[in-house]
Order: sequence, then structure tokens, then C-alpha cells
Amino acid sequence: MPRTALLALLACVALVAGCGGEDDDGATSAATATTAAAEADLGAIKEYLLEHADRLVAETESLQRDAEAYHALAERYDFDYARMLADDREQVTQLIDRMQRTFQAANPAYEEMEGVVAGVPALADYDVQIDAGADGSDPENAVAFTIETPAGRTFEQPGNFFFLAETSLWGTEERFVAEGVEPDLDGDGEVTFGEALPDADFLVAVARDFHATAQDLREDAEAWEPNEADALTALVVMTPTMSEYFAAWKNSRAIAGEDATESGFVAASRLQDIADILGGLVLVYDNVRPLIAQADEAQAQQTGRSLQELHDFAARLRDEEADGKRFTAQDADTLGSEAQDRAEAIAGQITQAAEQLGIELQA
Amino acid sequence: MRRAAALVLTLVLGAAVAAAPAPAAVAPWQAFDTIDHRLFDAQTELILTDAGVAARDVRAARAAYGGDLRAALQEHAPAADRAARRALRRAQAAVAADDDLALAAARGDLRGALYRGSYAVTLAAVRAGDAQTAAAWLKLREFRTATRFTRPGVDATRAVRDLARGETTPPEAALIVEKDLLDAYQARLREHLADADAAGEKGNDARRGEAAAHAAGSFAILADRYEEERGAQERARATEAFARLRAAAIAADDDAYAAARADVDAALEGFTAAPFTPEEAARRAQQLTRFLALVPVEYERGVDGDRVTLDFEIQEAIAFAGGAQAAFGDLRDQLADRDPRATEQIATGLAELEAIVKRAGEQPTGVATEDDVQARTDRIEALLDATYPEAWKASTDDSDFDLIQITLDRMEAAIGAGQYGQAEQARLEAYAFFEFGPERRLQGFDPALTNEVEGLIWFGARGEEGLAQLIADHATRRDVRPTRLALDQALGDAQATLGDSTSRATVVTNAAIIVFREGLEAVLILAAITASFAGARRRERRPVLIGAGLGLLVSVVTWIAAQTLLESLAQYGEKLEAIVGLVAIGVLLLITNWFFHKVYWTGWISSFHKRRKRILQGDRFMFFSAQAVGLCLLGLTSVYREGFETVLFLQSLELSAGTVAVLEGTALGLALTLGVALATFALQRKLPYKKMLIVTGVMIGAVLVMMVGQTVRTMQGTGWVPITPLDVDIPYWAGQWLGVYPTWETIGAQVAAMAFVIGSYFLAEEIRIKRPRRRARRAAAAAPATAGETPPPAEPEAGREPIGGRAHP
Repeated sequence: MPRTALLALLACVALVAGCGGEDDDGATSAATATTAAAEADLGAIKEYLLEHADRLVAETESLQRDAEAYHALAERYDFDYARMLADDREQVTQLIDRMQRTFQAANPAYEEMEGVVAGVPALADYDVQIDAGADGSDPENAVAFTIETPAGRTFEQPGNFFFLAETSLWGTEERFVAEGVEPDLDGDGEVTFGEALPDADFLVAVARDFHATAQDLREDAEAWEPNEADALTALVVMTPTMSEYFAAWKNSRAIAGEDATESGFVAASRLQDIADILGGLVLVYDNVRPLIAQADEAQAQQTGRSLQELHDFAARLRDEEADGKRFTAQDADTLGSEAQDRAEAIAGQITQAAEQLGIELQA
Repeated sequence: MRRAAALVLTLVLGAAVAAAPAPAAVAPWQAFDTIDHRLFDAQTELILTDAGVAARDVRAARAAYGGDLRAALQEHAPAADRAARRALRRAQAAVAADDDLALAAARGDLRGALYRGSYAVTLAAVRAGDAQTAAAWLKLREFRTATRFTRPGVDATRAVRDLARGETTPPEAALIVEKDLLDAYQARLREHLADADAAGEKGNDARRGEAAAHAAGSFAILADRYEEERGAQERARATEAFARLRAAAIAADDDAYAAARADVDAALEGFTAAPFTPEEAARRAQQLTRFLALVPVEYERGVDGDRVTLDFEIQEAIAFAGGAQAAFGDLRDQLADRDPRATEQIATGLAELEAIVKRAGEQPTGVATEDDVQARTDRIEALLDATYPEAWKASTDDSDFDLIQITLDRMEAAIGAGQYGQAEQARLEAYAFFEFGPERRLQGFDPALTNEVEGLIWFGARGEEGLAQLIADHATRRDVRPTRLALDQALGDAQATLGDSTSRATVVTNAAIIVFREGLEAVLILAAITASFAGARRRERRPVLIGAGLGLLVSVVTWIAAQTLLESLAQYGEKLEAIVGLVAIGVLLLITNWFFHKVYWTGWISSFHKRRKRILQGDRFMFFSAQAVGLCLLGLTSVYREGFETVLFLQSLELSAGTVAVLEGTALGLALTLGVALATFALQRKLPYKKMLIVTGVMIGAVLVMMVGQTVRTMQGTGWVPITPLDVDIPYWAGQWLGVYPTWETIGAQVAAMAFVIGSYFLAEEIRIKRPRRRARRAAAAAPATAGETPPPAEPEAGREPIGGRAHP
């Protein structure tokens, strides 16, 4: 018995000795950092960008195809949408449903790369056009383009493409939907959320221009030569935009329901956007981390951890909401403020890192 | 046996323990993150799940407060340590009571305490010269919120790095670190207070409680500085006000909160924890002055009576009013020390002005008139002028660069909105800020960089298209971006160049180059005109040279006047330059015309015998007077046109480099110019007459064309002439030296000038040679029918044309 106990004790001691100290990110990462490359992998960032740009091109192409078909169908009925819906309900419903699903696929394709697109000065204008730009009532932030429809109508500086497509497809903006018809797509006598009849003339024009812009973005992304300043600038510029994203979430249907003042973000919660954007930024950071670690390993760890935690925070909220959790406006304020605080800390940290690396952050 | 086994076991155990690596130290920032995030997790769990899960998170947070973090706080900031432990206990009690408000307030207390502790430890490490510890603790801090003009500060990071490298001393580094951190924490204090107010308005008590508690903790960091400035009694009063604010927020007592908030505002009134250096204060003062002056300028462009006509201009006025307010906020404390009553009036005036322009941004009619806005601005300016110390009244380059950036941002916004007219206007404004601000000094330090900045604003440099070209082509914002980035880089280089001290040799050299380059143009004109004045006409050089001398004299007077009038002159500089240029061109055109006719005409009139003497006498009497005035004026304008601009450049250089160095450079430049002038005049005398005429004619033509190109370009800068770019790549030096710029207007004017010169020559040819020749032929053809009549005058021989009266009988 004593011999057995002795052996067991020795085994325990060996086990304890082998375990080492407390699991500390600092110690293990420090060891890893010595073998890590001291250069940023900017190629990976570009690859990520191109992959998402390809997806966006494919989705907008699909959207355009269906919008053309919808327009052709409406044209056959001389744009009498009530008659079209009555006589061709199944095809109309299929087209609308498909376009809505295409939109829901296109959205993350862009949001996941938005951190790069909006944060890199050479590409930032695309973010204005595709996702962030306002309409003409806000001249400083307005989109520059005008939509010209096949029927000859013009919509000057109407807002960004995602806003235009989403509000038309989900019927949350009166200007962009078919007039004089109840969009009771399933014919059950009731119009529920998601049932909408877009203005075909408007929608096809938006879809065409959206696809063309996506192609332009793809082309410019191909031509873009990423550099360290771009990557760090994207992180500094995009990370602290949390408060406006959470504010949009708070004003969206997900929080405010029928009282929503935000007509967008009905197809996908803003939380999804936030998580997607942060996911993109995490990727950007992971690829520049070796560079930062070269100047300050501890700083690299701190920022990497902070950014990942912020992403996980947003992802958790997204998942809770998707599981049915209803947040109040107060919750959104509290959660948004916390996210903003963390984001500003990250921006501050990256600014210090840029200083230590002698990299000038761009405007 | 058993004893031996026990001994072996003990030895083995001891060795194993000794061999096990020590637990890795947790960096302070890591410990803070763990504590802070676990507390927030607890707050989230109270929303998402239940108090049980939240309690687990609080326990984890309490457990994480130990090790180096706690030990350092106990040593350097024991009050912060006590506050942190208190906060953690409160957090635990709060989750036990399922009280989200109390939990949020406890977290605010904890963050304030830990930042306060970190502040103390960081400074202690810096003062002890321990850069490694300081760098580790500097990661546990807050930053200013980034805006367009206020990025998170990097001074502390830089100072600690310099300390590690031995490039600075501990006391110097400590000053910088302290300033950076105090500035950040005061900014954050304002933000926490604003957050608390906003949360209260929305009925979010938990958020208000957290923000108010954090604000109280932030004030504790600033308290020592507060006491230095205001005294112990005021410190106690302010601390008590923050404590009441916190308590009211936790109690969700709106009335008590409002009362405490008013006391907090009063306590913070005019307090700046990290006072500006004299240079920073002067810069902010200049920003205030410049921004304020631009409010009525932009407003006036955007209204007609009480009606808004151009919203874009109103938005600019709003931006400048906001900028003026921000600058005033930073200076208020120092101004109040000088004149509290005037400072109050300025504050009220600025607030009212901002409210008025903002109203114009919200409603299209019934807005204040431009006269009202101007009157208000004038009153504030008068108060500022009376209150500012003298050092704040001197213009600085930094405020100019700020204005350039603001205006370029506006330009980009206009491009983004497809408003190219407004974009062009903004571009010209930005150029004006550069031209009459930093450029004058920059020319003396780095002429090449000046050209690059100008090129990027106009037609291209550094491999990028110029903004004028892009706007004219209606380029998209995306296409404009690369040029904007290059321009930002160039302006940054310019700002750095002007901020550095420059060697004396560089200043002397650059001053000499400026004088020589500008003087060369004047010499060329004078040489061209005076070349033909030889023999009896030699005295006609005199009015030209007198005019040149007067031009020099007026330039010197301008130099003296510029000592006190530089601002006024600079404001009208380009317009004045354009006007003087137009006069010079006008006179040169007249003289050119006269020159060609005079050269050939004199011989033609010799055929009129009866009238010759009288005409010649009349010529000497009448024409000489007109000629003398014209030649004198030409000499004066030729020299003064260059002299005015040179004076302004040299004045700006003198302000930074000193008078002696600039005068040395000026003397050198003048000497070189004089050498070229003498060589030119000597060459004129040596050339055969006919060749000299040809050379002279060509020189006059070249000078005229160059002058026309540069003057039209100047007028484009003042907005008097439109800009229609040509799609041609012309290097920027061609503009500077030859007056060749890639626009239809400049090239067109030069072509017209050349046509005039060449036309004058052919006209003179027609009058002097071809017409008499035709008449002679006609007369010869009619001669056999009119025998016995007096033969017509012989055709003047080419090559023996009377010049300067030599051919007079």
C-alpha cells in the first residue's frame, strides 16, 4: 500500500511539475512571437477583400437578373401590379422571395469586407455608395449618383444601394414600392412583414447600377496595393464607428418594432452587420499583428485580445437576438456604449502602435 | 527503510516544485481587462440570464484583482487601491441584490480607481527612469475620442520610448507623459459627463450611474492639478460636487442630479488640467481668429437678405462657427485670467453666433441677415483683440494649415455630392490660404516643395493629377482621393519644414534665388526695350531706367510698409499682383507696337521734306513726352511687379530667419541680377545692329508672352478668369519660368499676345516697306506718261533703316 501511494504521489508531482504556471496569454504568446514573421501579411487582406468582392459581384448579378425578370413581367401587365399579382401570383412571389434571399446573401458579402473598404482611403468612396451614404438631405454624407429608370424617372442622390434595394424589396420606403396595390403576396387577405411589391422600374435601375458598382469595386480592389498604413488606418477609422451602428440597431425594427425610425436593416439585423464588420477587422488585425509585435509584443497582444473580445461580444448579442431575445432601447444604449468604449480603446492602442512603427495614419 | 523512502519522497517533491516554472506575471492591462470585462459580463448576464451567473462573473473579477496590479497600486496609489476594493465589494452586493444600477455604478467606480492607480504608477516609473515599467503601465489608460483634428495622443508613448533609448531625461519625459494623460482624462471626463446627461434624458439610469461614477473617478486623477490651480478649498468643493453627482445618479434622483451637475459645471469652468504650451495657445488663438473671421464670409455667400440661397455655404459657416467655439473653449481659462468680463461676453457672443448660423442650416427663410452676422462677428473680434496677449495676435502657419485642411475637406464633400462649382470654389479658397499663408515662408525654405503643393492644387505634381484638372473633369471622389492624399503628405512636409529651424546658409541661398529669379524677368524686359536706344536715341533709355529705379524704390517702401501692413497686403496680394501685371502688359503692348512702328516709321516720314523738321520737332516735343511717360511707366511696372511679390516672400522669411540672413541673400541675388544686366547690355552693344534688332524683337515677344501667361494664371487664382484645363502634360517649372500653364485661357492669351507681336511686325513691314513699294511700282508704271514731273521719292534701302534718329538728314 505505501509503495502504491508513493508511486501515485510521484505521479502527481510529475504531473504538477509538467503543467507549469498559470495559463497566461502573455507567456505563451511571447514564446510564439519570437518565431512569428515580423511582417504584415497584406496579401491575405487583399485576398480576403477580393474573395468578398467576387461574392458581392455574383449576388448583385443575381439580383439584377431577377430584377430584370420582374420588370419584364410587370411590363407585360403594363405595370398594373394588382393585375400582375392576381394573374401571376406564383411567379411574382418566387421572384420577390429570391431577390430578398439574394439581398440577404449580398449583405454579409459586403459587410465582412466593409472594414477594409471603408477604412482604406483609396476604396472608401465605395462604402459611401454601397452602404454608408445618405440621401441628398445630408449633403456632406450623401451619395453622388442619380438613379435613372427605364421609364425616364430620376432619383437624385437617393441614398446608398443597400438602403435602396432593401427598402424596395421589403416595402419599407413608400417611394420605392408599387402604387395602388396591397402586396398580399400569399393571398391570405393580410399583408405581413416581408410581403412587398417593389416598383419594378425603380428596382431594375437600382439593381443594374448596384451590379455595375460592385464590378467597379472588384476592379479597384484588384488594382489596390495594400500597405501597412492602409491596414492600420482601416482599423483606427472603422473600429470606433460602433456607436453609430448600435444607434442604427436601436432605431431599427429589431428593437423599436413598428415604431422603428430606421427603414433599413429589416432583412438583416444591424447586429449581423456589426459582427461581420468586426470579423473583417479581426482578420485585418491578425495579418498586421506580427508587424505590431515587432515593435511591442505586449501591445500586439492587448489589441488582438481587445478586438477579438469586441467581436465575440457583438457575435453573442447577434446570436441571442437570433434566438429570440428581445432587447430594449435601454439595453441597446448600454450595450452600444460599452462597445463604443472598447472600440475607442482599440483605436487608441493602434494609434500608439502606428507611432512606434513610424507609420503615418491617413485621413 | 520507511525513513529512507520518506527522505527520497521529500527530496523528489522538493525538486519537482523547484523545477516547476513560476506562474507567469499578469501584465497590468491584462488584469484590468479581465476585471473590467468580467464586471461587464455580469451586467450583461443581469440582462440576458440571471443574477447567479452574474455573481460568478463578479467573483472572477475580484479574484483577478491581485498580483502586480494590486501590489503596485498599494505602493504608489493606496487611495486608488482602497477605492478599487470598495468598488468590487459593492459589485458583489449589487448582484446579490439583482441591482443593475448599483452594479453599473460599481463598475464606473472601479474603472476610475484603476485608471487613477495606473496614472500614479506610470508617472512614478517614468520619474524613476524605469521605461520598461512605464511602458507596461501606459497600456492601462484611456484615450481621447478620435475626431478629424484630434487623434488619440501619442506623446506619452513617444516620451517613454525616448526614455528607453536614453534620448530624454526622466523629468522631461514625466512632463510629457503627465500632459498627455491629463489631457486625455479631462477629455474623457467631459465625455463621461455628456454620457451621463444623455443617459438620464433617455431614462437609462444604469448607464447614467456608471458614467457619473466614472466621471467622479476621472476627476480624482485631475484633482492634484486642480488644487495647484484653484487651491485646496476649491478642490474639496469640486470633489464634493462629483460625489453628489454620483450619489444622485445611483439614487436615480433627477432633481439632485441636475443640481449637482450645475455645481460640477461651475467647478470645471475654465479649468484646463494640461495647459497648453505658449505655442499651442498661440495656435489655438489664431485658429479662433481665423475661423471666426470666416463665419460672415461664408454666411454672406449663402444668404440673400433673410433667405438661404446656398446651403453649402451655410454648412461652411456652421463648421467655422463650431471650430471657433472649440478653440475658444481651450483658451477660455487663460482669457478669463486676463479679463473675466470680456471673456463672458465673448462666450455669449460666440454661442449666439453659432446658434444663428445653425438656424440658417435648419430653415430656408427668416434667417439672420449677413449684416447682422457681420456685426456680431465684429463685436467678438474687437473683444478678442482687446483681451488677447500680443503673442496671440501674430499669425501662425499652423492655423493656416488647419484652414487648408478644413477647406479641402469641404471640397471633397462637394465633389462627393456632385457640386463641382462649390468644389472649385473651395479649392480656390484652400489655395488662397496657402498662397497668402505658409507659401511665402516656404518659398524661402524649400521652393521645390512649394511647387509640388501648388502643382497638386492646380495641374499636377508627384505623379498625380492636380485638383483643378480633376474638378474640371468632374472626377469622382474616388479619383480625387490619391491627389488629396499626396497633397496632405506635401502639406505635412511643408508644415514640418516650417517648424524646423533652418541653416543660415539655406536661408541666404534661398533668398538670393528668390531675388535673382524675380529680378531676371525685370532685367529681360528692360534689356529688350532699351536695346534699340543707341546713338542719339540713347537718352531715351533714361526714362526706362528712371522708371526701373522708381520701381526699386517703391519695392523698398513696400518692404518697410510690410513690417506693419503685411496682413493687409497679403490679403490683397494676388489681386494687386494681377493688376500690376495687367498694367505692365498694357504698357508693353503699347511700347511693342510703338517699337516696331518707330523703327520703321521714322525712315518713311523722311520723304516728307517740308513737314519733316516740324514733325521731328513735334516728335521730340510731343511724342517724346508721351514716350517718356510710357517708358518710365514700363520700367516702373516691370520692376515693381516682381518687387512686390519678392518683398512679401522675403518679409515672411525674415520673420523666421532674421533680418541679417535675409539681407545677405537679397544682396547676393541683386548682385547676380546686376551682373546679368551688365552682361546683357554689353552684349547688346557688341551685336551687329540688325542682329541686335532681331534679338531685341524676339526678347520683347518672349517677355510679353511669359508675362501674359503668368498674369492670366494670377487672375485665375483671384477668380477673375475661368479655368478650362487642357489635356496636356506640362511640367510645373514651365509655368514658373515660362508662364506656360495647361489651360485654354493662359495658352489662348499667350497665342493672342504672340499674334499681336508678330502682327505688329508685319504691320510695320506693310507700312514701311510693302506699301511704299507698291506705290513706287505704281508710280513707276505711270512715269512714262508723266515725263518731266518730279520723280517720286526713292524707296528706302533695307538695312539702312534710321534708328534713333541716325538717318535724319
